[in-house]
Amino acid sequence: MGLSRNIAKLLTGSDEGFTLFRSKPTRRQLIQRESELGGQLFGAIPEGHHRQFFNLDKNTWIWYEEWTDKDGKQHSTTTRYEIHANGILKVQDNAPYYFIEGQEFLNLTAAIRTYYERVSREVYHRDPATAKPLAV
Amino acid sequence: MQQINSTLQYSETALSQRGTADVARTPAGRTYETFRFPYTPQERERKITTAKTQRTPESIRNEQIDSAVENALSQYKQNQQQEQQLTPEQIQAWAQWFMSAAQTLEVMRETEMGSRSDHGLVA
Repeated sequence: MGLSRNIAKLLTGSDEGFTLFRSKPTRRQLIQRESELGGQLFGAIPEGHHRQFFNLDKNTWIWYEEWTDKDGKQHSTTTRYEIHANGILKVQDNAPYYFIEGQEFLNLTAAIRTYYERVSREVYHRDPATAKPLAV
Repeated sequence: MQQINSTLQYSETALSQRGTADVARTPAGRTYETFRFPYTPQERERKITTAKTQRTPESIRNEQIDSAVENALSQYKQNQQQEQQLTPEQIQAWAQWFMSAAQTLEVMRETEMGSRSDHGLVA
């Protein structure tokens, strides 16, 4: 426990008071928190891989994965899912764009629903159904 | 679906009793037969040729079983594809929901950053 947190606890009687001394998080920091959680939604992450999945804006979801191969060479891939009124366009570098369908669509649907549910609760401490703060 | 599954089970059992067999050997030296399904194009062609030239009650029955299996498999795959396909209306509804969810998340972020007062917009 850091000095400032100790001081906060002494002054307020709980760790919660510590938030009084922190600056507000930036959008980047919040999305970073979301993406770490989002990366866990697709099952086990292979050894040496780092995965992030997050909502960037109203129309964009990002899957980013990086890993190091056995020769120590770094690789990464970014997949962008664009939400259009008539479907979801999957965009990857060096690959043809296409509207996802069938099982792939259902998988992404499940991932986004779980993301929304968990991020609401675990990052923002809000009820996903009402967006109201969760009762403590 | 149940009927298809029953047909598949029956037909696969029938095939395994007579089908195209490979003999394999376990590390302990024991032999057993493994069965390939569906047939390769070459096997299929050979079977058709054989069936045309040497039709027996047994081969006729086998042809019927093969045909039933292929039909059942085809129907099964078709059913699976149909189950996984969403209608354009369903896709549009989901797309709309994704956008609403993203907007709600954005409100939560802005509230957390302190740039927006709390309110109850939800997906």
